[in-house]
Amino acid sequence: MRKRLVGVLASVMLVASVLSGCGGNNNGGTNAGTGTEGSGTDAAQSAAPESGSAGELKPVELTWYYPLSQLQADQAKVQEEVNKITKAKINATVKLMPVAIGDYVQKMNTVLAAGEKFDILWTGYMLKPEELVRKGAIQPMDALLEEYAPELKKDVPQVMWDGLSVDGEIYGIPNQQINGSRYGFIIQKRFADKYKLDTASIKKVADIEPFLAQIKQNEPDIIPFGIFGTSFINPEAHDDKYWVVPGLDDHFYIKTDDPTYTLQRYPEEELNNFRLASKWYKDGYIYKDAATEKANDYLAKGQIAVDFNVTLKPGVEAEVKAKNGGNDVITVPLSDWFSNGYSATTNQSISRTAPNPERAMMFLNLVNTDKELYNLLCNGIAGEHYDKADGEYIKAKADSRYLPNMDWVFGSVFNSYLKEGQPENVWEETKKINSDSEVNPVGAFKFNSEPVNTEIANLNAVWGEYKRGLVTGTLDFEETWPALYGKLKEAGEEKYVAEVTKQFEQFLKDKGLKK
Amino acid sequence: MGKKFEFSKLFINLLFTVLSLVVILPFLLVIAVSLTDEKSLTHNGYQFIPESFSLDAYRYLLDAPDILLRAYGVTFTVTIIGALAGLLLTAMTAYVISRQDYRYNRATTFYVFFTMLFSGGLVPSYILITQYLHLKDSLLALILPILLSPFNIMVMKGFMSKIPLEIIESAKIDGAREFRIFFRIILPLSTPALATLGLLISFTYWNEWFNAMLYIDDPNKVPLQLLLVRTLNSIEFLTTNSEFTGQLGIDLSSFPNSSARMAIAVLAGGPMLVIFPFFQRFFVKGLTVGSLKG
Repeated sequence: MRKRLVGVLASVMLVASVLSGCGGNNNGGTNAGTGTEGSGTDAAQSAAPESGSAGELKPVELTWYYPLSQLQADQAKVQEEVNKITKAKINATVKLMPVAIGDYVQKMNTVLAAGEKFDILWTGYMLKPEELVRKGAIQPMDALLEEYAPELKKDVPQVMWDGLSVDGEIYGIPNQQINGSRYGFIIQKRFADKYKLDTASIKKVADIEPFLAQIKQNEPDIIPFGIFGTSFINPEAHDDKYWVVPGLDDHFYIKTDDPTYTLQRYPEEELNNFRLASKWYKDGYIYKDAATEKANDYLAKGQIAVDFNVTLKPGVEAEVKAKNGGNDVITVPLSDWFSNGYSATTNQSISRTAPNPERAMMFLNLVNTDKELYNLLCNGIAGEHYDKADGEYIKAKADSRYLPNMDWVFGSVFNSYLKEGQPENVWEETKKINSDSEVNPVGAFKFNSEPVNTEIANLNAVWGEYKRGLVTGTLDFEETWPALYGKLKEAGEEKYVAEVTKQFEQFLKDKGLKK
Repeated sequence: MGKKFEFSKLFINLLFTVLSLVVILPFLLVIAVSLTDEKSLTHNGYQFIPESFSLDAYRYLLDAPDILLRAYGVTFTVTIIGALAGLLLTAMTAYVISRQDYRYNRATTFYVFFTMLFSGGLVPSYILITQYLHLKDSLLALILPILLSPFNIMVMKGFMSKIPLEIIESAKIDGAREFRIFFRIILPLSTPALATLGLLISFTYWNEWFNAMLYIDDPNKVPLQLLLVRTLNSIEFLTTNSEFTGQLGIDLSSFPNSSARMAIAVLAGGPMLVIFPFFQRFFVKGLTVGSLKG
């Protein structure tokens, strides 16, 4: 019996090794995508792009993966129209491969790991280009940009290219949109009018308090201040005193007027925000179950009078109105525009396995410069999916079969037609913000978390236990903080701070910010 | 004595009443919500008895029925073909390894069992399906990967090894060959097991969406469950990543509202609810895995 078993096992293994051998052979040519060892050959390939491309272009088909919040019924029709344009301009057709946004990460990770051949993929918030570079899944595009998309290269601000660079090479084309933060309050207009709120008098977070008191007294069904445990009101991210150091746990700061860039951990001003939350909670300005409830449930009913928002961009009023139970709102910014650099929120990258990286670049250039093509992708076909209104404005048809509503997934939103409620100059304003916003002097700092991964996990666990309670003021700050701080120390606070300080000092030296 | 007996009966009845309520109530709630007016949902939350009754959710879904009907078509095709083929192959494999007079039956059993413990994993399967079998966007990609489940084979084997070898021998003496034995004697004798496994397999096919997510890009070949999962996943993603969506401005109001989501769930689960009772009588004869032969 045993002999027999051994025999069978041996033959099974033989079969297995033969099969895997075949696979290996076939893979060698195509599958360089999964390991960094493939980088040498691919770099060579992209460094020597097809010469004489200005002349005749061979017809090719490009494949483009991107996420959509809802797949569209008329996808095929739109693709046909897209191909009419691309066929005429760069003699290429494009296979659009939208993936439901909730499945996008899993699907793309599988596709990339399998080394499937395709050209373009959307990268961004949940599929960071930096991580894909470490996996060897996408290719650098400096040379391609120079050769095939010089206008695009110029059009995009340098800070965005910097944000998309890994080890000095660019790995993505940003879909330009707002890049910056400006925090402040969003207030329901009906209450602001009713209580004659003087918005000019509100300069800092605490100034809203009298208004909250009025709401509390006179509007029993309304939650005066809409904080629900997930957001952290932190004006010290950038005010006249502090800059937050990005990419860490949001509790490291530098002082704006400090030429030595000394790191500040838990400065008193930050802790005051928690004290304010405790006070407001006791006064009843914050909903009593805020720590466990979801903001959206109350927002949709229009029950929140004042909300805090970190991106008060042009046209935000129209956007919020839709989520706010249809109530009009006004905004009260508390800061100027500032930015921590570009965090690669939404971009296109070119796959390592791309059969036609040059043509992919030409296509991306076209998407970002050809208004017709871009708006076709965003809004569908004129007359069929939307109607043109005055000027640049369009109106989607009521039962449109193509309405992705995700302009930022395709390309630079500055080329998009305007929708109802957006101010006419919204893109000029946004561009201005992008170029004028104050940039965090240490925004480029990237922390390598590896040496203190355990400590970070422990610290996160401790914070996770307290955070919702603290930001909503449900837990009294003065009572909680000593215990919390003690736990943080046990979790490795000091080691973490030491590592951050070490790397930060190194960063300052490398950047020449500190001798 | 008699009184005590009553008490334990009461207890058992109570226990099962509670159990059935736990199972039935959520489903009733789903149906109730799917019939509730969206406005009253936002204001009152989920209620068993809708404050204002509305068929809007179903109207919304059936307004453009082509997608839904096509999805039904795909799911039915895959389920029927998959269940029939899967059942036949499972029975055949199980029969072979259940025969005591088959020389390599232990080795083969082990070979089947081994795949329960170790599998190639996601990426190799993906490579196999897309790059070697070229099944992307083909319904076969939905049928093949779950055609044979080692667990089902083991269950079937457990049942079939209880069929006495003497029956097979007597059939042989009467001049039957292997195929005739299998189809005329073994299969009829295994009806309870076939019914049970058939149901299990069709459930698996009916509920399958993961392979479809990976392999199906053609909107005309999307099964019903994937439609549902996609909508739910996307809503889940957008609501949990508010930091991202806030910055980019995704309009959540364009999504199917809660009642529409529940309506999809009803439409996706409904047919199986109807089919289930037909199989139920076969469950009386229980199945066992790996029990000792008496």
